Amino acid sequence: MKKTSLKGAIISCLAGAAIGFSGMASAKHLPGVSDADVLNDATTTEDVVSYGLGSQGQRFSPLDKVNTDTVKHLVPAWTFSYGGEKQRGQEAQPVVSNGRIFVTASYSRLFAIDARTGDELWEYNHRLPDGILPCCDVINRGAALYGNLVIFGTLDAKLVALDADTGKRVWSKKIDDYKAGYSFTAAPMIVNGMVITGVSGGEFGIVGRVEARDAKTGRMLWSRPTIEGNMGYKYVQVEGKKKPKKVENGITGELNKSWPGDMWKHGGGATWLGGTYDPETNLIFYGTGNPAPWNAHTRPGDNLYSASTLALNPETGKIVWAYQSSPNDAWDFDGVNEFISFDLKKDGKVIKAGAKADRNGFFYVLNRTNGELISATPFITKQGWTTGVDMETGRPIETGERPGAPVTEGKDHKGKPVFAVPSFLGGKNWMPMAYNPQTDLFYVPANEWGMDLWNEPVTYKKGAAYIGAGFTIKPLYEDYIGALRAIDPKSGEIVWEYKNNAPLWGGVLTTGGNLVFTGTPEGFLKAFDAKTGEEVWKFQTGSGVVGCPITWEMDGEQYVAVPSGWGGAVPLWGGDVAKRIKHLNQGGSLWVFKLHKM
Amino acid sequence: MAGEVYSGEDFDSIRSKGGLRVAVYKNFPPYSYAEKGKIVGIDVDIAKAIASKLELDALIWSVGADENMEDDLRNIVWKGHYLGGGTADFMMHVPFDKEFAKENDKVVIFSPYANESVVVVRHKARAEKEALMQTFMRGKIGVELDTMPDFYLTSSNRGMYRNSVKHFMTVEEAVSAFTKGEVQSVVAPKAQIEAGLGADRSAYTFSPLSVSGRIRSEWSLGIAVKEGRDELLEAVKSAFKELKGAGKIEEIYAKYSVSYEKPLN
Repeated sequence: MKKTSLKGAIISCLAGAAIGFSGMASAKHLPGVSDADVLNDATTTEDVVSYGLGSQGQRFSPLDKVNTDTVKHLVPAWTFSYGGEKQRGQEAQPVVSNGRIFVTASYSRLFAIDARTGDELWEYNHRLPDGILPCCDVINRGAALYGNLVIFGTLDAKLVALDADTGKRVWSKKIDDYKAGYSFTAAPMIVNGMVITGVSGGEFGIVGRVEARDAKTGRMLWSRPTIEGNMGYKYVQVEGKKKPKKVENGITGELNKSWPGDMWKHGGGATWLGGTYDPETNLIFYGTGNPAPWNAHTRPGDNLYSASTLALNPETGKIVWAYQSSPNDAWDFDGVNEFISFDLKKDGKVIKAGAKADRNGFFYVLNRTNGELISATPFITKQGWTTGVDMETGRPIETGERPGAPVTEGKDHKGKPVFAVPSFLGGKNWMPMAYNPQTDLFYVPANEWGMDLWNEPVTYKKGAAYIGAGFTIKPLYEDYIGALRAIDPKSGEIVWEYKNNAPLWGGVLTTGGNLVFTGTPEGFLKAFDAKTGEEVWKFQTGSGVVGCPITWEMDGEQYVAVPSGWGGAVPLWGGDVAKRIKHLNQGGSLWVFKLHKM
Repeated sequence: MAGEVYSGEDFDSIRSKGGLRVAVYKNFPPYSYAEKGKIVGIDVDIAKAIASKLELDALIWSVGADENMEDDLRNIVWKGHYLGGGTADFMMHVPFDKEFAKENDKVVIFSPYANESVVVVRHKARAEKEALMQTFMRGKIGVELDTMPDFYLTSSNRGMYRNSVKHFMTVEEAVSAFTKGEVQSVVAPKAQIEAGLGADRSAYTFSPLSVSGRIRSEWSLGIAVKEGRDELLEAVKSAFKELKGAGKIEEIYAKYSVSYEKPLN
């Protein structure tokens, strides 16, 4: 009954289906996940109910049974294969509740697994329609838990809520039209009974937005566009009417302040990674993608709020503050990365701060109550486009090395070719960093690469002449691309680093056991001493690790889990990087570890 | 032309799957679009005529366009998309351009069947009283989002037309806004504009869009097969040659009320 034909799964246009197994006959109704469970996730060690191990996204667990002394005894407890032919990038972070693990997998699949035995409880295969064209592999980054629901997004841009006991669909809402290029791959986030999402995909013609829905029913509550000039909406329930009323909720920013003509209508700013939420300031933080179109010369102005961090009020759906990291972006420097709330202890004061390692190569520390810049320091070794950030204005100081305008400049009208560092895959890409309040360090998975970038006059799109951009990604160093770096948020200083031959593409976890865990495309899950960076443990999982590790406690033992399965954007965009990764094999499994008993 | 002429291994497998699988772009009038539940259009008719010459059925496969044609040729003709769905035996509407062909050597692009050019359409009365530049400066210019005319008009001449440009998701929508008077010109491939205006175009003037440097404002349309499928290539080539000789291509253009321009090459 399991779908084994890839073609069948892709071509058929039916709704998704849950497949139960005889082993789950005992499925019983377990206590659901409450708002308090989500809010306290960072400190409750027996479960992991949110993406980021807590809504602030610190990816820190106080658990310390597995520590720098004991980690050498960390061994596999069990492993679980996702099966099928759908072995592509496994970028998810699993969640754990009531002895059950919920993990999403490539091609919009979701597995419920017994956390003690590794037995499958149920699986959900979302039936994807023909004709979806995701830009960057068929990945998924994880699910949210609320009540008795497991909520995740699909490649055909739907938000699906499943019964945690049975895998049966409770509600399903269309985020947008997959035919227009939309998809959804980020992990949704729960804030006060609402499920918060963005939109992915659709390089052209879209405007990013952050949306809130009732987590129990999927009913839309508000929608906030990220690009200046576009109208936001609230959805108000009217008595006696089934459909909520769509009410205008003010435009984002100021019309035509930073965009010419009607270009704001299609200005990009996709919200393709998840957000974080800080209960102390009651703010949702969301990063926004690059502006559209790619050619910056057609859109003079800052192009607000592309390549920015937005702080939103969860009740009103309005923007409280915004900080733009790459004004008038010309390099595809998305600003989507996670903004992690933490207490900055500096000069005898404790400042409510937040940090973000941006695609553009800067590690930003902002005051999270008002968006004011506290510091911006490079976390990569080279940045061609800038010499630093002006602390007065908060704007990058540019070197002027921008790609030329295609129609007006350059020999053969090719535009001036530029070697840009970092490449458009960024000093850091999607993979979330972690913050350890005990070491007071951030652990940033960075990559050292640049790109040749030029405008290409002879190219075609949909059978018609087009003006495109050409690029080749190039590593900066012979011996490594990836670098896990420990950064002191007070000084921006890099305290230690671990170098990796292939680019790093997986999330980071840090623990009270003075450990930092992350995976490598070469297949290892590795553990480092959080203070010194010494590699203290590694395990070969059989395929590249590009997912996010988690840890929790069960029956008095500490467990660590990570998905394994090479893929994601690197093998699709690789350029000269391809040489370092072409030998890596695909996979699809979940590995779970615990300490070997003496 | 007897069926047994084409009896190689490639043709055996084509027959066993029920005919020639031909890729065309979806929602793309006048070339390939749905009408009353059927896929019709110039590209579809040419593909069907070729298949019929080869005594095969044409299995029309409507595909969405990716970011550029290099991606389309990889996903549709020579490799297939990683999501599955297979490849086409041949693909219509592929630019017949030496430089482009050199960069895409995993396919063979052949049998150019028509010329396509980017033009400006205006009402005749306006074209008689003002220069093109004035129309661009004073009025709104309709373009399809993320096309050459879009980029050209928003960035050329130091962006002097930038604020006049109005973006639409399709040429069809831009032409519809033009006929309603919401924009004063549309810049797009001529056949697409003509299809939007209908058969009677006596009230309109078409002017060329003069672009600088190596940017193409006209090109020829051809057919692509995967490199190495020589039997299929030769068969399609000779079928096309016969159709062309018999005036069938012009006939198909006329059926859709679109003016035919001979390929450049």
